[in-house]
Amino acid sequence: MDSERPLPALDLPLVSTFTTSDLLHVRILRSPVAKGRIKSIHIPHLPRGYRSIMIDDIPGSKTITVFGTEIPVLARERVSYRGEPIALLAGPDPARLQEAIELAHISLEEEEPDFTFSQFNSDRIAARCEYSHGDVELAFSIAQSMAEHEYHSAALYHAAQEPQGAVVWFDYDKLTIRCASQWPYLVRSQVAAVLDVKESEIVIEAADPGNHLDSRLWYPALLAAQAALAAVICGRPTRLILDRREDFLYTTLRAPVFSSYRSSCDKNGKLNAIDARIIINCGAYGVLAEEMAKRALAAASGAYSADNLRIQCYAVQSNLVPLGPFAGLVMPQILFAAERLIDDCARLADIEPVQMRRLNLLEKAAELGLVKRKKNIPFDELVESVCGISDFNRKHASFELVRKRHSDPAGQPGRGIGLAFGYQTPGGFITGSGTAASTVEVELTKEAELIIRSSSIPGTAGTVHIWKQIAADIIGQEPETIHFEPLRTGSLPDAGPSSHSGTITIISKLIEEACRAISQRRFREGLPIKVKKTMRPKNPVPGGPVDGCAWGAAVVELSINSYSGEPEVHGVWLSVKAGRILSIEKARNTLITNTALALSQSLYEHIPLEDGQIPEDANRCYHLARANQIPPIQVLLADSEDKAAIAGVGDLPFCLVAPALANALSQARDTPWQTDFASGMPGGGYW
Amino acid sequence: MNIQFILNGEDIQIVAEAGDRLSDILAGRHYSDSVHQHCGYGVCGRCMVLMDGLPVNSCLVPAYEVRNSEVISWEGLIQTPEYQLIEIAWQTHKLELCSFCRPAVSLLMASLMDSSSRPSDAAIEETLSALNCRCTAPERLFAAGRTVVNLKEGRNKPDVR
Repeated sequence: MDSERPLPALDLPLVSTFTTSDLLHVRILRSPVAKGRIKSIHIPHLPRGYRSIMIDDIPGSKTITVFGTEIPVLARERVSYRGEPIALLAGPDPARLQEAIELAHISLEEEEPDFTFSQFNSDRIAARCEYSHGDVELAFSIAQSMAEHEYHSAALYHAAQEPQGAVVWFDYDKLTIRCASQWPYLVRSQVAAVLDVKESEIVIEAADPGNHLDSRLWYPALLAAQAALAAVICGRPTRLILDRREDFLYTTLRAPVFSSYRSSCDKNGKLNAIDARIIINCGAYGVLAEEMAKRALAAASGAYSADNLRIQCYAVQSNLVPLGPFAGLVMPQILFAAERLIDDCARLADIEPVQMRRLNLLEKAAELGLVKRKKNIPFDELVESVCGISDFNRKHASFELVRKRHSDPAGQPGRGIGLAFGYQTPGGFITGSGTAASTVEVELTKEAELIIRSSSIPGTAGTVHIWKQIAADIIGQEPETIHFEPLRTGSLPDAGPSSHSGTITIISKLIEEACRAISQRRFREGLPIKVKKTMRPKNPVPGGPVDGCAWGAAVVELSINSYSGEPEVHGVWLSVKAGRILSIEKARNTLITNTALALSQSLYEHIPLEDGQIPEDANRCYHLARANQIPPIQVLLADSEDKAAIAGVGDLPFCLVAPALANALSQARDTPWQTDFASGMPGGGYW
Repeated sequence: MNIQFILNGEDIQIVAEAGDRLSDILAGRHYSDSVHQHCGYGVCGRCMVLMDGLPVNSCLVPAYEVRNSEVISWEGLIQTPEYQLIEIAWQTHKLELCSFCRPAVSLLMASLMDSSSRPSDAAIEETLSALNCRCTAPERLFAAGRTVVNLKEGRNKPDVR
C-alpha cells in the first residue's frame, strides 16, 4: 500500500478566512451563572444595522437533537451551565458587538449548581448500566484480603488548530454553511429543523478540522444553527467564530471519570472478584450519556477477567459545559483505571506486572457479558516485544529493589517504569443517530476517471492518499486519475460521523468494496459505472475487547527531578497489532503523533477547578507540550494480516500512555498514582 | 499613527491605533489569510510572520514596532525559491500539516535557512518548537528541518535520520 509518492495536500477551506463585503459578525450573549432561572434580559440599544436575536425569533425547533438529546439553541427560562447561549447579537463591527455584550444585563434567580459527580442524586443520572456474574460479595467475604482503589481522569481541552465557528451565506436559493464538522449531515438536519426549512435548502461545506480529537462531533451543529439563524433573520451573510477563550470554556471537553474498585486476588495473583463503580461526568444535558455508559461497562475490567465481576456505570449530568466527545470517547479514561487497577493489584500481591496481566487475561471465548471472543488476545506477542525494546523486565526489577530498599522512608525512590496493555475497538457508535448507515458512492466516468463521493472528513492528507491508493490498486489506474468530489452535502451520500477511526475502518472498506464491484463490471458494461455501498454496524458492541480490535502495549520510563519534583519522561515504547494495516507509514506516524499528544495531556495539560468550576482565565494556564519537550518514542508494528479486518490505531496511544505513565509514577513516587495527570496533584484535588 | 512597512515586497502605509498589534493589521485588515488570531498571547504560533528575517508571533508585536520593517507572511514566502526547498523537505519526510500549521512551519523553516551559520540540531528543534503543531510527529518535523538546512547548504542528500 505504501508508495513513494509525495502526499497530496488536504485542501479544505478555513472558516476564519471567509469574508465578503456585507458580512455580519455574530456574538453570543452567555449566561453568567451555572444554574438558574432567567428573570429578564436587558440588551442596550443597538444602532441601525445591528440586531439582537432571542429564542422567540427562532422559526423552527428551539433545540438541536444530538444522539437523542435535545440542546437549546438559545436558553429560554433556565440555564444549565455557565456560558450557555442566551441571545445572539449580529452586526458589522465586532468591537461594537463586544461592547453591547459587556453592557447587556441578565437578571437571574441563581440556584445551587451541581459540579461534583462522585456523589449524586438519582435525578442527575442521564444513563445507567450494570453487569455482573458470580457473587462478588460472597467472594469478598471469603477472601483473605480486599483492596479498594480509586482513580480519576480529568477533563481535557482538544486544542484544535482553529476555534470552532461557522460562516453562512446565500447562494441563489440555498443557504450555504461552512464549518469544520465531523458530521456535515448532522449539521444540515439540525440547521434545517431550527430554520424550519427543507434539508435540501441547506448546503454544508466542510472546512479543515485540523487535529480535532473528536471535538467536532456535534458542537458545530449548534454554532451553525446560531449563525444560520442570524443570517436568515438579518438577510445577510454571517460569521460566528469563537475566540480561543470561548472555545476553551464553552465547547465540549473530555468527560471526567471517577472509578472506584474493590478487588481481591488469591496468593498466586489470580483475581477472585472485581467490583467496579464508574461515574462519568457528562456536563449539562447529558449528551452521549448512554453511549459513554455502555462503552464504560464493556471496558471496565480492561483486557482482564475475574470469576466474580460486578460493574455499575453511571453517566451523570452536572452544571458544567456539555462534556464527552474526545479521542476514544471515554475509553482512555476507563482503560486508565483498569490498567492502574491491575498494576496496583500486582503490587499488593508482590507479583511482576507482566505476570499479573498474563494470569488474569481474558481467555479465548471468554464471556464478556456482551459478547464472546473467538480469537486469542495477542498479549505475549505485544508485551514481549515492547518489554524487549524497552528492557522493561530488568529495569522494573531494578527500580523495585530501589523502591523497597530506599534509605529515606520519607523520600521517593525517584525512578520508575510502567507498562500498560489495552485495545481500541472498531469504529462506530451504538446509540441514537450515531448508528446511521455510512454510504460511499464510486463512479468510473466515460473518461475513465474514478470519482469517489463520500461526506466523510478525512482529517489528514494521508487518509486521502490511502483511499486513492486502495482504489488505484483495485481498479488498476494511476492515483492521479482518482478524484474526490468536493466535500459539500447534497451531492454526496451521508457517510455518518467521522470519528473513532471510522474514516479508516468503515470508509476504506466501503471504497474497497465499491471499487471491486466496478472492477468486476468494468469490461461487461459500458461507462459510466456507478456503485453505491452502504454499511450499518451489525450488533455493535462498544468498548469491550471484541474480535477486530487493535491491540497495543506501552512502556513509559521516567524519573523524578530531584530539584522540581516533576516527572521527566526518558522514553516511550509502543507495540501495536492492528489486523490489516493499509499504510504502515501512516499508522506509524499516527501512533507517534498521538503518543506525543497523549504525553502532552498527561504531563502538561491541566484544567484547574475553582469552586468546582473552570476559572474564566483557565485557557491561559493550559500548556501544551512543545515539540522539543517530547521524549524519544519508539513504535513497533506487528506484521499486517492480509485477511484480517482493518482496525484503527489512532486512539490507542490515548488509552495506553496515561496508565503506563501513572504506573511508572507509582513506582517512582512509591505511592499509587490515582490520576491521569502526572504533574503534581491537580489543583490540590481531583476532578 | 501612520505606519509604513514592507509586506511581501510591497510598500504598505496604514493608520493604526495605539493598541493595534501586527496581527490586527495583517489578519484584521485582510492583508494575509495565513495569519490567524487564535490565542492572542503568543502561545499558539499561528500568527507567525518573518519580521526583518526573524520569526515573530505577530500578536505580540505592537504596530508601531513594524515601522520601516520588512514583513514576510506565508503568501510572500511561497513566491520565493526557498519555499521549493521547504516543499522538498516536507515531501521527503511526508509531513502532514493542516492548513493552520503549514504557513507557520514554512516560515520557521525559512528562518532556519536565513541563519548566517549552520544551525545546530538543538537550534533547529528549538526553532521548530515555537509552534504548537499537533499534526505530525515531532521527530519528523525536526528531520524535515535538518533536511531544509542541508538543502540550503547544497547537500542534496536529505537527512533521513
